[in-house]
Amino acid sequence: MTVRPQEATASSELPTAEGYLHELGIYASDEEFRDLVCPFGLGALEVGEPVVLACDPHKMELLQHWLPDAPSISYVTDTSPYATPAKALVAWRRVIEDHLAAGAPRVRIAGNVPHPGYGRSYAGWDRYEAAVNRALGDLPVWASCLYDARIAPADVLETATRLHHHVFDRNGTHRANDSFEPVGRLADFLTPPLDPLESTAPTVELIDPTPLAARVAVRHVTERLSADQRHGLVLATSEAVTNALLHGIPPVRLRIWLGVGRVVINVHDEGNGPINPLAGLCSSEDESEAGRGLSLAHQLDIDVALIAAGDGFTVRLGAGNSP
Amino acid sequence: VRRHSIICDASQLDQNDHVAWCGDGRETLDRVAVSAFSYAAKRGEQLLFVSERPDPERLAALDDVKGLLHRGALQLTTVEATYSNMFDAVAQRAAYEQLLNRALAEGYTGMCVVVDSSHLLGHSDEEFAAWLALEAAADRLEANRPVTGVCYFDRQAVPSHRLADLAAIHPVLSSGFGKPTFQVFFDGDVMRVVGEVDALCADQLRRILASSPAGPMPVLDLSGVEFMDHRALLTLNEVARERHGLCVRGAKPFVREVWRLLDLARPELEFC
Repeated sequence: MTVRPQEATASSELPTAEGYLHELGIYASDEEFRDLVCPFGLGALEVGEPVVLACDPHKMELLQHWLPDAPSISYVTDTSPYATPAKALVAWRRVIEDHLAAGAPRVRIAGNVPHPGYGRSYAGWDRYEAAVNRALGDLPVWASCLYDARIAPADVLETATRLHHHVFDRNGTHRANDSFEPVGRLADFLTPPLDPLESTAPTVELIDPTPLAARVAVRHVTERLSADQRHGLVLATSEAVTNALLHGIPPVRLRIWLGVGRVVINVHDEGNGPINPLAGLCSSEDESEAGRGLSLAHQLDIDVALIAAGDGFTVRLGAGNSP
Repeated sequence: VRRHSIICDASQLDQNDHVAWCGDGRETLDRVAVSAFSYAAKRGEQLLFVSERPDPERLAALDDVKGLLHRGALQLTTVEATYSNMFDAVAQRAAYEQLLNRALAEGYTGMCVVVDSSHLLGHSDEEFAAWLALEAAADRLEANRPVTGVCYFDRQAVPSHRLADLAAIHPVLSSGFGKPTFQVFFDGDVMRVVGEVDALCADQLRRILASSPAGPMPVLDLSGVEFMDHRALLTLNEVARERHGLCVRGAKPFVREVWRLLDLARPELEFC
């Protein structure tokens, strides 16, 4: 379906408040998408605010068609800095700070995060949405998160609705979100699906390993991964085992699965995991060294998931081919 | 790179080696001393035996022990006499250097020192810290001058956690020690760290670096470090703050990457 560009107009009903705004827009057609995002972009042009757009390739094509060719509107084409939630937070902060340093009064960003509609799990990205408030909340940024109801599962939309302070719709109404819930516990976030390897017998299993023994085991099974991924898994495993020994409840169980071109690692203890539900993404006020270790792990070129469940806390690490 | 290894035979020692030898009782010490001295004598080094009870009978297995003693090529002395300045590592090092210079002036090619100070190492933490400072000072001398150093530690007299510190501060170890997680020793005037440092041994690294004499810290060469976790780097950063600066060089890319990701608000450690 073709949507005519001239239908896109700036709306005078947009909020003019300066400072931080994190809002959710849900659409179910390309027209609705246009009605959400075009006033947002055109309004930015009117008030001299830069706009950074990061959507899936189809939506980016539509946006480039609808919006004028203006230097203050930029499109994120290299998505690699946004590969993981922690990297995305760092990348966005850098983009926003660069614009502010260049004199922008406020920066508008709009985009979508991965979910099953894009062939990826939403687990982790729900924590990202919650973390945005703390990670970017000190900046003058208007962040609009766009969810396509045609492809996003109902539980994703329901979860996203709880994670945004504000909502907006195609009629140009922006309002505080009655359904917003402040983050409680790590266990309140979605549990990432099992990696298929985890249903098989582990290649290595160690009980109460020293961090050194854990590193030796990881090095042994990661010889075929890239150097970055190998060092990433060694470091993240060492940090997770150290945290489990120092802060968790024994026994500490390290399990490693070696698949074809893929390695998955679980570091499990019987405690509740970090008190900070955004551990690894945002430091809590009294940041402990455990928080730093998780934060490092999240910045590496590997998959990291924190899973708080009835039987304890697991750090799941992975690298290599997609499962 | 200065030799750092595990050996099982004292005859394998050479100049610039500084070995920690872990054994049981006096007989092992005597055997090690005889072996080390035999080879050092062939190299033309003056021999110095420092122990709680420096009885020449203990070295009877050494070739021509009477002749060596008579010529002054073998000197016997007590630990107390040798380490009268135990709490002053700088003075102790100067005294050592004086002995070495005299030996060289007398035509020896260097000095081989066998020391058993085990009976001093079971006391207070303060005294043990002073001993670590002596070891660091001696190591710097032995790294740069023609000295073969053998430090004997009787595991019946020295607590195991202290043996671990002693292992970490000698470049060469007897096979009686387990493989240490890391070692720190001088290479020229640079302090070299080899092995891996993580949260479980970061305090040990701090203790060992604290044994370096007051004043500016030597440059720390990390090219032999295979792993450092963030707590190890935080520890180095604290040492850098306490000592008003610490320069590290040769860190492998993944160690530097951990440092970069730590993104400390107050970085004190300088990578050069």
